[in-house]
Amino acid sequence: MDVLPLLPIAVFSTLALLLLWGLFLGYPRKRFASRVLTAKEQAIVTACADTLFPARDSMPLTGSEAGTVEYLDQHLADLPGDKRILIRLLFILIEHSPWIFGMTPRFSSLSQARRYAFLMGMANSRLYMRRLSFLSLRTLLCMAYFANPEIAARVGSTPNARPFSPS
Amino acid sequence: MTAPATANEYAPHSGVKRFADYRGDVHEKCDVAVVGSGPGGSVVAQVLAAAGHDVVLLEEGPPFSPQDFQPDAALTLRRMVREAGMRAIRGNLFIPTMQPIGLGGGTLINSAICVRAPDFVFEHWRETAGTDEITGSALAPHYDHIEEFWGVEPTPEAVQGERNLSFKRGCEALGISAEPIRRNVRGCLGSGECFSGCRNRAKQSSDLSFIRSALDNGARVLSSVRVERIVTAAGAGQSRAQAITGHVVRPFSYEPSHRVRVDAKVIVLAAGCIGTPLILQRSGLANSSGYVGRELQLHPGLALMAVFDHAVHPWRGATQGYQSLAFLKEGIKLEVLWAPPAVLATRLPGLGAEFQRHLANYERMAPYDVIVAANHSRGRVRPGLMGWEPDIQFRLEQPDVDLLIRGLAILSDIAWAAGATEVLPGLHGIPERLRSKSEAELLRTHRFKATDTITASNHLFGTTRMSRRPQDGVVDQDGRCHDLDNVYIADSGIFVGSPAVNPMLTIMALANRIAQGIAKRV
Repeated sequence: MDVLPLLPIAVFSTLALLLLWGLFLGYPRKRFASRVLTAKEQAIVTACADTLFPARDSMPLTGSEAGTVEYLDQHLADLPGDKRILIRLLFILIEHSPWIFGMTPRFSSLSQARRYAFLMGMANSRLYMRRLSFLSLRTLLCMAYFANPEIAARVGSTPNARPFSPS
Repeated sequence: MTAPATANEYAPHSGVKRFADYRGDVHEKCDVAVVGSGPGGSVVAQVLAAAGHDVVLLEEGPPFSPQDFQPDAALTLRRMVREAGMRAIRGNLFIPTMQPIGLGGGTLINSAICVRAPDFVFEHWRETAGTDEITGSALAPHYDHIEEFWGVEPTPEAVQGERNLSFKRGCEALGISAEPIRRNVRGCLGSGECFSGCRNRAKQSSDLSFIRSALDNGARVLSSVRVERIVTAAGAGQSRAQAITGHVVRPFSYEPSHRVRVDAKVIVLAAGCIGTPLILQRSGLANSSGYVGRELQLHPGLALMAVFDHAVHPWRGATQGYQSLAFLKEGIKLEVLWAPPAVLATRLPGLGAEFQRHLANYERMAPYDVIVAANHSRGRVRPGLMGWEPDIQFRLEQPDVDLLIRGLAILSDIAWAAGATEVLPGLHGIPERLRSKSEAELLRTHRFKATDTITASNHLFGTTRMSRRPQDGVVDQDGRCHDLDNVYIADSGIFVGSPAVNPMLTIMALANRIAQGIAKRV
């Protein structure tokens, strides 16, 4: 039997399976029962948050430990639908753009060091839109991180309506 | 007449119709319908109600009270800013712009800066659009009235905090004139929370002052109403408006529910320089000149972080307490800045451990900002393809980028003179941390493009500009549409050009003048 005609089908099927895996499969189960974020999006946001905010002496909580993923889930749930879509597209862009920029696995599968390198590449990119994407991500994550009272206290920025009054 | 001494002596929003109060379609009749409750609309409503006219004031957002004000940046953006704080002007770069929505409009979450436009501004307006009646001296009594009513005063030293005082020190060391910012605030406690709403109710936003006075004088205030169109009288051509129509909208989601129609002898549009042209464009009115939505101008702004070797506690002190007007003629205004800490933290360099190191040093930082009169740049606004949000375009031209960077370089000088040990310029293409004054000379030697900056702008104007001749603009010098006998505009859209300073007080002075003119005619 001539297998040659089957070769393109096999190649196509393999690529389709790889694409399916790369886009949708292989993500850990949801960390919490979210209102908006899928298991994939939870994984992406967790990876971003822990890269931007790793635990260190001055800030003992990582981004995910500080509740950034849960906060952003709530934030997205309360946003108008068109804005929610934009932010979810941002997450997808970050997850899969390592393919474009020379790192084969998706962002959430990279090692911490490679995630750091990838996000630094975004922050300092020559491409304006890539820098803008990073700034958008960091804005979202910063708002979520600072909403944690322990983080605000560590930074010193705990809201105080009467800062000059004797305590 | 002056505004009440303190907001807590009464329930400031009693009498305001809220979303839950609407039981069906709304049909009102009045002498004057005012669209928008920000600085322009609130003044018009107050003046005309006090003069005995039957006024209906319409606002798309809900009223907010101190318990609604929470120093959570994301929550504030979602609830009190249009498009959940994600509105951006597009062009050769994206410029985020915060357009508040709520009773009181911009006065609710701005930093209460009240500065008179200098005389040369109005001279420039006259040269551009022939507005010879709009001069500094003609507006002086209107500025006086607003300042007296609102209790505008310089920010007291006691609530400046080190962030503001460092700027003062730097300016003094360099011989640059600077002064405490005059604000519409009574009894400021220096919480630095202007941008998320004053929990102390010290800021006299217009819902506490002008709108309260309008209500006390019999005005009807309808919140949660989106005005969509102006209806012209049948058979009268398009020179006379009959009513405005729209919908009651649910707070925060802005889903429409009941229909609204307000028949009025006079309509005053004060929906802001984005909202007002959208209403006219959707109505197909007032545009024989072709200027509706065109000539959008704005004050682009940039900020840097001055880092000191001692604690500044930037979260303590008036949100914006000090400014320098020394370079106004060049088009540069310099200020101290504050915003929710999370928002400003996004400007800190690096990520991971480096970013967190900056966070640990946050208490030693003071942000300063520059805004410029971008006279070379223009944009336009038009209805978006879907929904009610606008499509805003603007091109920031290179001379205005250069002006911004010049302002940033002066801010850097002020920071070093104040004793900064480091400056974080927030620009692409140069080091993220400038460690000496000589290194900061890069701000003067490096050539920056618009996209190298993180530019923001909350001062927008010019989209329904005033002109002496009908072919040069949308409204005449009384604020009346050239094409419509009984439709006026009283917001920053009527500005012919940059006011050189923060626009709020000039919007209100012009609105006061326009309202007095209407009172005489109606």
